[in-house]
Amino acid sequence: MTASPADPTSLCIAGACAGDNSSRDRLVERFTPVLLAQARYRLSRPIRGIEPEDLVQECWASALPKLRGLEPREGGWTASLLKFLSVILLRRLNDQLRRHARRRGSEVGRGGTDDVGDPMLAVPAEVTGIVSRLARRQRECEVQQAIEALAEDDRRVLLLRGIEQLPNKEVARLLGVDDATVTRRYQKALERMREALPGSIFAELS
Amino acid sequence: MTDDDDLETSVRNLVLTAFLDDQAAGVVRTLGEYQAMHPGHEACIADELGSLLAAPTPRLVEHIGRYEIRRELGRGGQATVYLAHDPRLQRDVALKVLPRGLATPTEELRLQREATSVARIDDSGVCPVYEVGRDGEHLFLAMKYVAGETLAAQLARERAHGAPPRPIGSTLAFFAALAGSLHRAHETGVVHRDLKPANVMVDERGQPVLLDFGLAGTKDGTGTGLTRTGDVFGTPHYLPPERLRGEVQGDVQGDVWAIGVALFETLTGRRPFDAPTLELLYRQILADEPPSLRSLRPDASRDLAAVVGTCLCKDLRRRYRTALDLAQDLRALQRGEPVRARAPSVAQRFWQWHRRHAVGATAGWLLLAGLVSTISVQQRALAEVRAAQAETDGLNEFLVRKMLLAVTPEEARGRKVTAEEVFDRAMQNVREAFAEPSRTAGTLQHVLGLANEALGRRRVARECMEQALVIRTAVLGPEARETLQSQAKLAAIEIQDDQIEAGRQRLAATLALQRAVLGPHDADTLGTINDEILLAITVGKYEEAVRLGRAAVDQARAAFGPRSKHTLTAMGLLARALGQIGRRTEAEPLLREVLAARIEERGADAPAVAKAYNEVAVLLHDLALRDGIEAKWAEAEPLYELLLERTRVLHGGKSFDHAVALNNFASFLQDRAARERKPELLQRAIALLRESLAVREALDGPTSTRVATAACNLGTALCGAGTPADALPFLERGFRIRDITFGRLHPETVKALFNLTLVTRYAHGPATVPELAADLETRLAECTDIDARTRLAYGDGLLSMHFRGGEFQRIVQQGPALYAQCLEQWPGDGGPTGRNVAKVIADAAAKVGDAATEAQWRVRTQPRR
Repeated sequence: MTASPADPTSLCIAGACAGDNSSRDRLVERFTPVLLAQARYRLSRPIRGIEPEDLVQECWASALPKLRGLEPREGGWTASLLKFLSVILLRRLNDQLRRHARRRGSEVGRGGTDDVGDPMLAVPAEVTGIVSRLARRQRECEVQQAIEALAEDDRRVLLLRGIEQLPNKEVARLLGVDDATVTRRYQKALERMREALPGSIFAELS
Repeated sequence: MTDDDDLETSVRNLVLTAFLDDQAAGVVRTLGEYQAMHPGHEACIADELGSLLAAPTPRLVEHIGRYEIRRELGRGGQATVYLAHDPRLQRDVALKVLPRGLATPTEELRLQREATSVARIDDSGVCPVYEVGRDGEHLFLAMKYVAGETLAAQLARERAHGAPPRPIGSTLAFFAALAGSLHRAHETGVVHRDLKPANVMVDERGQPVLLDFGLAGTKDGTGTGLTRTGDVFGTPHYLPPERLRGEVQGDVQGDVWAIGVALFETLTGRRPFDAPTLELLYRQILADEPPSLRSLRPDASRDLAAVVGTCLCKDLRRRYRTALDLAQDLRALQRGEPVRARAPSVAQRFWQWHRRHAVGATAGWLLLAGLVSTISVQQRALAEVRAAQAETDGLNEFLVRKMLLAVTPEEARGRKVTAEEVFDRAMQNVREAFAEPSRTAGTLQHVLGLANEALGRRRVARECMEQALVIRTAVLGPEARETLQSQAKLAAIEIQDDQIEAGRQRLAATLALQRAVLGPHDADTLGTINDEILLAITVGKYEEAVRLGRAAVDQARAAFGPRSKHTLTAMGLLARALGQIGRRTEAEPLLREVLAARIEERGADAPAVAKAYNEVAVLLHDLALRDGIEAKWAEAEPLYELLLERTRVLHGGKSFDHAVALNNFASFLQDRAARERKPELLQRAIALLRESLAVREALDGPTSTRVATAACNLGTALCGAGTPADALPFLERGFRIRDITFGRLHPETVKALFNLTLVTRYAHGPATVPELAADLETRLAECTDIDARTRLAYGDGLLSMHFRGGEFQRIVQQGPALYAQCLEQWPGDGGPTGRNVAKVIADAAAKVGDAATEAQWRVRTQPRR
């Protein structure tokens, strides 16, 4: 894994792999808002017992120990990490949805799966106060709002193509439109996100 | 993991959510229909839904327990409520049914608690619970069916239809009844904790009935164990600030707050705290005052506004203590009788305004506290009682009309009014109103001086303090306590403002007078002694500072006790002086004691505590860096983080303290980055230094020497991060400012030029800076204020520059003279600088093919033992 100084994600990944807590925290802070947006979008409606925040937390717990094996994609480290995280999140969500659909009530919402815990437990106790927590949630809200401000079709494309990093062709098939439309909508959505959230990971996506 | 797998995961998710949506809507589809949604993924969809479709689709039951389900009344996050019929007792009930997934033992316990809580309340305004039961997987709660609709539904309908505001009289009666019922619940030991219009039914007679004690806790705090630690239950708009801060659990005053919010909403059609995001909403609840009721509802009386304001008071001491107090005031309002609630005083309004404008909080308090203490001092003299009283009245009037209301809260709302604006207006008013010298005029100038100093406006502060000194000397005489206070403060401001000599003389004169007139143990005298220690530190006389500091600590301890303000200040100064001469391990316990005392005395958010954090953090940093105590790295970092957050919040991110915090933390991160080879730490340091530069610019103007220092620091860090081209504009700016303000031969100017020359070469190559290098050499030759070793280091740097510029012959000629100077400073081998000079000469000789010279100098590159 080579770290390009121009890519903040690669620096954070390198730091986190080397055991640097602040790098790991920054990584979590940068990507959590989009993962939350993905979780909420994929849930389609709130389902009792499936909390987007818990899903994202579990996703990190599963992903952090495996960062070392990550390779950059065509779009760079940010795209690679997004793909990695969003697939983990989606699989966990599907597991939960299956349980919900089967109405095995007692299992829902308990968490307690195999690899939950260790890395996130290692995150130092918060020394910051309520204002920091609010600020963090504010950032999450900003991402959520920016995504919600997109037209429904553009939003779908941004989630599938940008965050989940599905190939253009497949996004087109899933949405029943042609490739060119997906490309156009994706670029438009990315541009909006970059305007609304300067310095966010959207600046690093292509 | 392939893209195909990921696509399949995505498709599975779409199908699952579609299936669940259908299930919720009661729609039944075949497998083929789902497969048609995503052509090409038929097999995966069959796999996913095969087992689910084979399972019996859940359908609405017709009976739960003995109850016959008639229709759904409502659906919430945790339960569905049905209208049901109890055939045994022949009555309709509201049946609250938990989804099967939630019918866990925990939830059962929770429902049981709701029933038990409510059963203890005997009041027609609280909906009674008949039974808690379980039917297979269904957990249910049967309660009285109240025909009608919720207050929330009524308000929403009124809003949607643009209905005129509700009459005040009937609203008062409704809420008086609601508060009365709530009080009876509280009397039985139950608090609601989720009070909101959606939980208030309006029955057919228009009377309130309280629903859903599902979150109820008991007043003694038991019964809250079912919530996860740190969970904030309830609806955000109605949450009281103390719950957001996690301070109070199960307090009746939280329910009073919620009624206040609902009352405000019912009267005005809008919530007092409302924001597009949860975070903004929380900030509003925590920090903002609600809008004026009368601005939205002009026909509301002042008393009604006071009642609503008392419900929505963030300070629990001023909020209604019980719902009964509120109910009684609401009934009194109905009858046109006086109420207990009072509109906030001018002082309260001023404080509330300041809380919203944190920048001016310190200054505001200084202003107020200064005036109040002056008034009491003045009143001490019996002979002056009448005059003092008249003056106090005049002052109060002045305070209210000309100063506190110079910018009213109403005016402040919706735009940013800075503390600077308030004080500029106040100062203008003071100068106009107190043109004649008087005791009051002197006091006001003194207090304005303090306030401006707190705002970091030292020039204005000095002007005010000079005025105060002139006025007080004329009115009270040169030896009066107050005159000496102004004189000491003026000296301290001068020292901080780099006018060291003027400040030193003034300080010595003040201290001599204070010792003679007030005595050596007087608080004012001790305060000035502390200023004297600070001066010794400022001019680098650290041993003297330690000596003075030890004496001051002993004296202050004896006179005022171990935790007094003067003792703590003297301890802090002593620690700082000890740190400067490398006795940091002695300093650490002193600073930690100061920090603990400050937190205990003033609370964790006080500005003095931020300063104490800074002192401890910097010391820990030094212990790690200079004394090599590894564990201190980890101890220092969270303190810096905390400090940064505090100064950002306390001063709105625009203060000297914040700039200092940014700078110190950046310096720490740079040291860590160098030690641990972590570039990302350097990037964070650079971000902090950029912020620090912006803060300095905002505070001091674009051409101050502090801006120059900040720009140089940022430039150096950028260069260290391998981006010299980015560093150049900042280094150049730092140099230009110093060149103008310090003069061309000041050591700091020369240093800035040296760095600029070095980095320019680094960024653009050796040929780009002949003028800079020549200028530097001239200045170095002319400057007399640079000590010999620093001068040699510059010489060494220049030599290296010449080497990179290919001027090898020049090095072979000029280098030996520099080496000889190094030998004078470091006899034997010329020290590290001398050895490096020898190496450059040897390398240059090699470049010009002079093997003999190279050999002669190469042997001098090794340290001599």
